[in-house]
Amino acid sequence: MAFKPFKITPSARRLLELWPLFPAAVYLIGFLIVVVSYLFALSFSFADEHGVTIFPSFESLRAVFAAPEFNSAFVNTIAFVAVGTPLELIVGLALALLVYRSFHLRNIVRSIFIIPLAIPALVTATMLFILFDFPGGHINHLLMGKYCFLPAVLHNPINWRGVKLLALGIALAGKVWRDMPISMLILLAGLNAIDPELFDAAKTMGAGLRQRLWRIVVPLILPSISTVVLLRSLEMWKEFIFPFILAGQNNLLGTLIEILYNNWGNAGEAAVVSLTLVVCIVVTALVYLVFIEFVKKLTARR
Amino acid sequence: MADVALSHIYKSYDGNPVIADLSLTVKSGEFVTLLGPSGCGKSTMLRMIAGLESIDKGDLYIAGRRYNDIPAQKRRLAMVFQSYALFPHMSVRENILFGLKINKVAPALMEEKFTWAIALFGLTGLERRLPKEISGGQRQRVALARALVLDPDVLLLDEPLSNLDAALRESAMEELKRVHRSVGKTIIYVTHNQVEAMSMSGRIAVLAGGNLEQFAAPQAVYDDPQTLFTAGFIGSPPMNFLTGLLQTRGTETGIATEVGFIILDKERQVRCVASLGKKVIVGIRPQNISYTDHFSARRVSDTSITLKAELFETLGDRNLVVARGAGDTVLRFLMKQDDDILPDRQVGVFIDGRKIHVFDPDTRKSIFK
Ligand SMILES: Nc1ncnc2c1ncn2[C@@H]1O[C@H](COP(=O)(O)OP(=O)(O)OP(=O)(O)O)[C@@H](O)[C@H]1O
Ligand SMILES: [Mg+2]
Repeated sequence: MAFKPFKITPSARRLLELWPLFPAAVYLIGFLIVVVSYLFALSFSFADEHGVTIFPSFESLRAVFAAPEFNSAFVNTIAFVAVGTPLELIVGLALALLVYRSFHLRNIVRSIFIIPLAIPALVTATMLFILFDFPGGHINHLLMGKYCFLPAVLHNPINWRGVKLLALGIALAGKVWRDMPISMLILLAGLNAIDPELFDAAKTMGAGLRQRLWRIVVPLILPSISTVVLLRSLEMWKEFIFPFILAGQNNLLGTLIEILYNNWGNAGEAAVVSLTLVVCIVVTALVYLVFIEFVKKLTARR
Repeated sequence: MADVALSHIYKSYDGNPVIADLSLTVKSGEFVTLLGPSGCGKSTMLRMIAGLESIDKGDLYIAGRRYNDIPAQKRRLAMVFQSYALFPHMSVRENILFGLKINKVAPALMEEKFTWAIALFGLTGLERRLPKEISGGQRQRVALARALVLDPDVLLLDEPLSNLDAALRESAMEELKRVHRSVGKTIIYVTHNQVEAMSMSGRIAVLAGGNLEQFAAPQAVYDDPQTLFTAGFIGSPPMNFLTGLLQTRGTETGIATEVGFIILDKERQVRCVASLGKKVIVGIRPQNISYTDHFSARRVSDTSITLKAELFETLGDRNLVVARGAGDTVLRFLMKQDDDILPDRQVGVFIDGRKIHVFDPDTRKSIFK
């Protein structure tokens, strides 16, 4: 008797092809469910003065949202997202264009710009901490003319990390510096996918550098740009290490969680802040998706 | 309207010369083809004229003005690329209007030119499609339309038809000729396809290894190839080449070869006296070797030789015969469909003495004065 091959319908085949993903999916979803449900449980419980845990309770929620620390951390975080994301995009794009245009040395130049990623964030942040220290940091010394090659511009040292805006600015600069290779590499991949003859064609039709950038490059790397915007904005929401080391008392949501949990031993309020962060990230992702659909419709065809 | 003059152009990449001392003048309104094998520097030439590639040495003049240092976006040239280089994110309409928008043309004029272009190139109805949604032939027409709406002084075309199938290429060639006649632009056209070059151009510049081999009208390039390269490159099936000695026997001058003494006609005899006694290479097109059983058809300037037919290739209207003569010399010639030549038979053929090409093996140039 001849062996009869096993018949598979196309839809069954598609399901079958997804099968190897099953363990990973179960793990991820399971992980999310455990963590988020625990987060919810913590957020809505409250330990009273006798140490008795009350559930459900809105006490943690109320306490967090009433606290001025939360408000300022929330504002600081939004500022990080709103300033940091475009900054990373612009710096990444500028670097990508630079690498793209440095024809012969492209690989070397690219490698140089990847270095920040190779240094642990903690090290970078600590370096910045030392540079901007008060009263004896290198920047202060430099400006006060303590290094032979520069004249003195200052008489008294500046407490860089003591000024809120400066402290946050230094933290943000460190973050952007460290992460710029990621944006650069994504955008560079987008640039490399463009047929260089398109630029030649635009040139012969009279388009200058700026017109080529806006009419050809940007529309064609829009997918890369939107990837960068999504990835970097999510990163900015949950940023921890740079503000933790550099921003002093000026908390972000990420550092506030740490302070609440470790310093103040308030797990419930820490959980509420974490939950807020989760909600912010989910909302950002959704807004992004809607926005992308909108842009797609807009750029479709006219 | 502008003439394009290249004078002693040199170009090299990483020390490897690609173009060496090339001079060429294209008259205003002329259709000139740069014809040559792959890698001979045709695209490089075109890109230098367009300003997309720098010129190492030499001068480029357009309409009498030196253009070497004028950036590509300031030259009033338009170029059609081999890949068409249509902007993938723009519709047909936007692609065609791109250059006009860049040059800030008034909307009314823009609309007028657009309407003219889509009518000329038969693109009506495709205005809103993206390049990926139209056929290869349509893409090529969009690329041409995009170049022509700019009203360029010079139109540069880099193998625009190479991606098209035979039928489409035929109609595209007609279209290009029609466009050239109606707009009268100076056109520099690059191809490695001799059929395209022959059928469209006013003059052909034959390039090989970065050198200009010959620059003449298509018929002149075919009838009077000035170099060995041109002789072998132009014409299909390719020319037969034999080596021999140029000498006079009795009253006739001809070339003593292994297959026999090939006589030149009187006019050619006069033109080659300076080279008498030299070793030469003889070129004979398959079209100029004829088989006929009527001996009376022979002209005085014809040479009669005997060959053994070995292989036959059908070309449709005629057959190509691969035959062997004395000294194992292989010669190809054409026979009419109703000629009956049998394989492995000796056949007598005539070589037309008026159509023989003779080259100096050292200079690789024609010896005819
Ligand atoms: N950017 C470059 N760097 C180095 N060598 C190059 C470069 N561009 C072209 N060449 C070389 O120059 C020579 C001429 O190239 P070109 O593109 O002009 O040839 P072509 O005649 O257009 O050939 P084809 O018919 O295949 O398009 C080739 O040998 C090619 O390898
Ligand atoms: Mg080419």
